[in-house]
Amino acid sequence: MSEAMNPKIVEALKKLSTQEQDLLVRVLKVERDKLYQEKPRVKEDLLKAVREVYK
Amino acid sequence: MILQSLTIENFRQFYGKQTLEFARGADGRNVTLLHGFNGAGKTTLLNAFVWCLYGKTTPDFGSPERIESERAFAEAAVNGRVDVRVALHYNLRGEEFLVERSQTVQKAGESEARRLDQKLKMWKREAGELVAPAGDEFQFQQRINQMLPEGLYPFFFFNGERVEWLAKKEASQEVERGIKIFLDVEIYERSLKHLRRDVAKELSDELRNLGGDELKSALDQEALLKQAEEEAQARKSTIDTNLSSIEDSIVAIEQRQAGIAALAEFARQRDRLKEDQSRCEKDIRSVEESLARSISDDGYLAFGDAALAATAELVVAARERGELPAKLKPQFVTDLLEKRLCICSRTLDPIKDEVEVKHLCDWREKVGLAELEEFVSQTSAGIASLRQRRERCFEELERAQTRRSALFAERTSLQDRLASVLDQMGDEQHGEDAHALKVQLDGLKKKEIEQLADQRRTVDEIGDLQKKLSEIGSKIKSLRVLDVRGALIKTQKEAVEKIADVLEEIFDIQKHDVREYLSGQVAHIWNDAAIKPYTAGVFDDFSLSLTKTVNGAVQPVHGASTGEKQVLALSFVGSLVKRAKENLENKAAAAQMGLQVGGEYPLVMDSPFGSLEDDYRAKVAQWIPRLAHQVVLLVSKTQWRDEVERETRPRVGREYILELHTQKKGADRSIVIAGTEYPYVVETRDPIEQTIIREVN
Repeated sequence: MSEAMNPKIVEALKKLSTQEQDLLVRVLKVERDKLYQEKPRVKEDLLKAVREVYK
Repeated sequence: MILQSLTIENFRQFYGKQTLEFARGADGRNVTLLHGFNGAGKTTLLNAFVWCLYGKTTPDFGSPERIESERAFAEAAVNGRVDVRVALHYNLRGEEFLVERSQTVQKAGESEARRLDQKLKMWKREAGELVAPAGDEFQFQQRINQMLPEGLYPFFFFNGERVEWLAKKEASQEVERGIKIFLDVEIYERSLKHLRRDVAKELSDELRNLGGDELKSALDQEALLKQAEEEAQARKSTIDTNLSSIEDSIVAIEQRQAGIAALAEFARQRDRLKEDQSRCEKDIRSVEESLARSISDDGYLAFGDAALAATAELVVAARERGELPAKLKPQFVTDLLEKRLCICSRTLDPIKDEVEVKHLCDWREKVGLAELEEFVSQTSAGIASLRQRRERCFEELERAQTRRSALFAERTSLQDRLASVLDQMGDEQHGEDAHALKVQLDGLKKKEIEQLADQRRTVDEIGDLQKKLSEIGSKIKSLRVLDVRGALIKTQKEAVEKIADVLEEIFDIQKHDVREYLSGQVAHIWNDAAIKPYTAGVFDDFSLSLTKTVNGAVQPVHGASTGEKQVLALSFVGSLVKRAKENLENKAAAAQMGLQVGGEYPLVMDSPFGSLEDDYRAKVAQWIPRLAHQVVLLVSKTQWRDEVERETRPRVGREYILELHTQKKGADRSIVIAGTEYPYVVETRDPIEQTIIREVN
């Protein structure tokens, strides 16, 4: 079993700066925490993440 | 999720408290086997899992509101209570949990029950002790859903006799959803939707209040375009669903037509003509691709004849003028200069014979003449070759065009013959049903054409809107915001949009890879198990596919048997579990970005070998325990025999008998397991049936 991430995904991620990658990780965490809710309310959490990374 | 044990108390025919321990894969033994006579409680046990986790039961569970043990209820005094409990003990990613759902049933009268609210409790092992984590019932349910979403339990707790629903086209949305959630694709789709629809919009609104007129106008325009695109995407989604439904209806009507005796021969002709049509279309595509290749490779030669002729004439003219071949070679002049000799062999003095030396130098500068000669020589040979290629290209184009014309004529003929057969099928002489079906079919085909036209228009509209959105996005980026706060919000908006774009890219990559993987796995498993030369896979729309090749053309298999659909569905579920397990093993790298977590999922299968033939049963028994991390099989005597036992036995780590106690006379039955006889059905004087779980040692 390969431990590597799909190279195409790595290439896609390289398009993001360190700051943008930081925000992406936060976005995915917010979404994962509420992934199994039918209608999750994530807008405020996502905006908070954006404002914390870019201030 | 690794199941450790299940404790049931007063749940339907399971009176009192009874516990099952599950095999967890030690020494490769990951199968827990439960033998049960019909009515002994196999489906009840499957439902005990579902009820414990979600507080509900499967659709095929009769009288779902009456979950309490009949015996416990009978024994309770009026106004007394019966406590129904199911507790599931499991490990999740190295942590140990216990979940318990209970319901109290109050005996309001001899046969009147009042059911109180369900309660859900959760414990987690910490420092050796099971302690209740912080949170309320809602949060516990959330945690269960994070582990195994409610809507998707049918993939993991199912009745093998009904699993073929997954192989039906109408299940494609459920299949797609299952794939997306279990294989961590859903998160990207949700993230980019929330970023674009909610977050970017919010930031745009803020920016709008801080920007100048031009920026405000551009942001308004962007908002309108986004809304229009969202509406167009929704329209397209509806059209796609409509088309899929129309296609299903057409297939259903065609199958009904084939079932009418008077139309059977016409139906065969129709199917043959459709197969021919499909092959003809494939041939047309192939010829057109060949034509396109010829034109792309050599098409320019069609316009090169004049240039080739003119070049040849120039060469001939140069030869006639004596310019070719060159009379003087550059190396000869260089040698003369090095040896300080004149062309007449006289020794040259660089000072006295300055004029002659200059002449020699001038000649040497004409080295290009020799290169030209070489070039002309190559060109002359090339011209001949190009002319031959030009001729061959014309011949190939002519052949392809002739073949294409013949195929067009064949297509027209097939269309006419098919139309004629279809008309005859609708003739009233074959009965009202035949006529009515033809009318329905015509109506559906008309609708299909309309929907296809709408689909085309909508796709074009979406493309146009996306182009405009890209343009306006670039414009917004280029507009400056003087205010510091405005500049920050603009940066935030741009970052959010960029991340959404990357997420969309990752989503597409993941979705494509996952579909390809599952399609490959399903095909592999199917090939191993299937008797017929069909090909299994997962279509682009995520419906499970079964196709056959007729005259070189790939066609969907209509009317696959229930058993074939069950094998297809089981091969899909097995592939899904395998991939989720691999994702978990692969998480080290991916987890850095919060991507792909995957998981281990057990398979709990009631009557897993459904209506399968022996060959299929053996194969399913062989590969299910290999694909899934943990398997619980609930089987009757007839389902557990010969090939199934032979294949599964080495994997069985825990084994139980659901010993049914019934008042029916002469009901006594026994079951022989590994040479030892055990009670299977026990005759009792007690009027209430119950089941006792006995472990087989």
